[in-house]
Amino acid sequence: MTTRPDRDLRDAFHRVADSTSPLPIDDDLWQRGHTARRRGQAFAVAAVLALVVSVGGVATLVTGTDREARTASTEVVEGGAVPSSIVDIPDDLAVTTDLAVGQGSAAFISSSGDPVVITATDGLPHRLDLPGWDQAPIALALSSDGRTIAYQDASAESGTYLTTVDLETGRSVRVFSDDSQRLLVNELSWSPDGRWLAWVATTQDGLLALLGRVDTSEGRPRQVRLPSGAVDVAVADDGSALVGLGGGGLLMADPDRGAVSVFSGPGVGAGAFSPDGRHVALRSSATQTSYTWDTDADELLEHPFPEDTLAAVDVRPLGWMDDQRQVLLAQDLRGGYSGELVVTTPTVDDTSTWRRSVGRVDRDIADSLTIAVDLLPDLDGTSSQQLTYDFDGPERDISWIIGLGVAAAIAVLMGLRWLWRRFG
Amino acid sequence: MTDRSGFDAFVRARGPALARTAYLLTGDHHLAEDLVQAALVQAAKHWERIDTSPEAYVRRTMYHQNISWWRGRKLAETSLESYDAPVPATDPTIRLTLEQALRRLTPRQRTVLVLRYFEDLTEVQTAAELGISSGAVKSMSRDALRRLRTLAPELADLVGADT
Repeated sequence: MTTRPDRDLRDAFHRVADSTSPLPIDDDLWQRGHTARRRGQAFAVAAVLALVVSVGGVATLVTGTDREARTASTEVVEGGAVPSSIVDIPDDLAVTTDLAVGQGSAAFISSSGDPVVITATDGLPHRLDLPGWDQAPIALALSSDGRTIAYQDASAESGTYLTTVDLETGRSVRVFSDDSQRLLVNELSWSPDGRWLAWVATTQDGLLALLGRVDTSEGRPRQVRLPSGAVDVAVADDGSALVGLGGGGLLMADPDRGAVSVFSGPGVGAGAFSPDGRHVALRSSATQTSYTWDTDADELLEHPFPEDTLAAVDVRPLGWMDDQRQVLLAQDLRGGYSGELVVTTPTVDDTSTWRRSVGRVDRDIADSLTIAVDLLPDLDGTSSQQLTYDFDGPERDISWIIGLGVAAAIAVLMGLRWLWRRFG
Repeated sequence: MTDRSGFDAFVRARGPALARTAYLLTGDHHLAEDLVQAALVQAAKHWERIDTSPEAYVRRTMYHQNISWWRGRKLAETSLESYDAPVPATDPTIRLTLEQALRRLTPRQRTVLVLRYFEDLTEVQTAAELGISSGAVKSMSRDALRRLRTLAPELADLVGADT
């Protein structure tokens, strides 16, 4: 008789099993099982809590007050502030037809050629539908208090017109009209108190340059002839104006008189008068020093930048915080012309100030930027003081926060699972 | 009968049979003892919620626990290739030779053989118990028997040429 191998194997397995000596079995297995069960339930509760905390933490980071701070539309700053980051507008930003947007903190011409005002209290940009605005690059200037903008109005086919808009009422006022010719306005500039508006313009053929000024509270604008090549202007609260020449040199013009040369030399141009009218912050190019014209002493003052800070920057003054501290826009030639706001004093002494990175400016709009310097706070003497406000925060990549939260939740669950299997 | 007394009665009645299976699965008395006790603790933990027979639950737990333990220990074990030499037939009895050869199978192979030839499960039932496909059961079973023949040529008649 033959046997089937699998039958034999089964028998062999049973013989091996039957030969096994009895194994001791503890009598506390029930107790151990239920202890493990209670421990498992505790771990389950802990796991749920950990998951809730992890998810809740991520949700807080993503949707909490921090998110609101990043959403400019929900942020309101009492009294207004200059944004710490001033950037070009998106292409799809809607046009604002109601010009009563409120006090502005900054104004510029966008890369698309549109006039833009950033409102002071919420940091929102507004693409303004200014009457007579020409898409060609023309002049736009925001007053120091942020309440008025001035621009060249090209609504008529010929002639030169300058218009101001009260941003709180939306009311427009034509402050200068010259029906005889279309001038090219090189620059518009407000006095520190926002009363005077000055401009330098050239005729279409470029042969004639003019300095114009108007007391916007009274009207009666007037223009005086300048040597050709006038490119920039600053105007004081008393109507005095300093004009910079493209070929080098500065001209001073009292309110009712013609311009006289006060400085000959290349490298500087008119920027902004101090409130007391004594100093004029000057433009300069490819420099490591800021320059200021002292109108009382007829002297060029210098403030070299601290070592290892700014090098080879173009400097354009944006105004003064007080009679001593000027606000400059410095564009780094080596850094792709991105701009940063710098606060400094005319000279270096025991009370001088030099602070960089007060704000940053998109290079595409830097050339046309004007800001409401009156919104900058008084210095409190600390280096940590924030002079501008982070309305929308840096564009944070929150994916890492979400990823971290999910990873933390997974790690917690894996850890609990390990503990569960180890002790459960 | 309370849950506790029911569990105790189950352990008393089926403990020895479970221990035999555990010994075949592990090939080691101490490991078998640990395996049975771990599976019974699991059963006690979920006793009220075991909706199949308690024995089936405990056995399935042992099968999976044994393979799981092996995964945790395998890095410390010697590779199988070094065990491929025939086992010296120092013991004349088939039982000891089979025991020695079984210890040189992987836990998965050993578990498949135990389920097929000791528990008398079909390939489909074995696959269901282990959560693998029937094809995998057939393949592991074939490989395990081939290895047994290699390790213990004197078992050829027992294992068969084509089983």
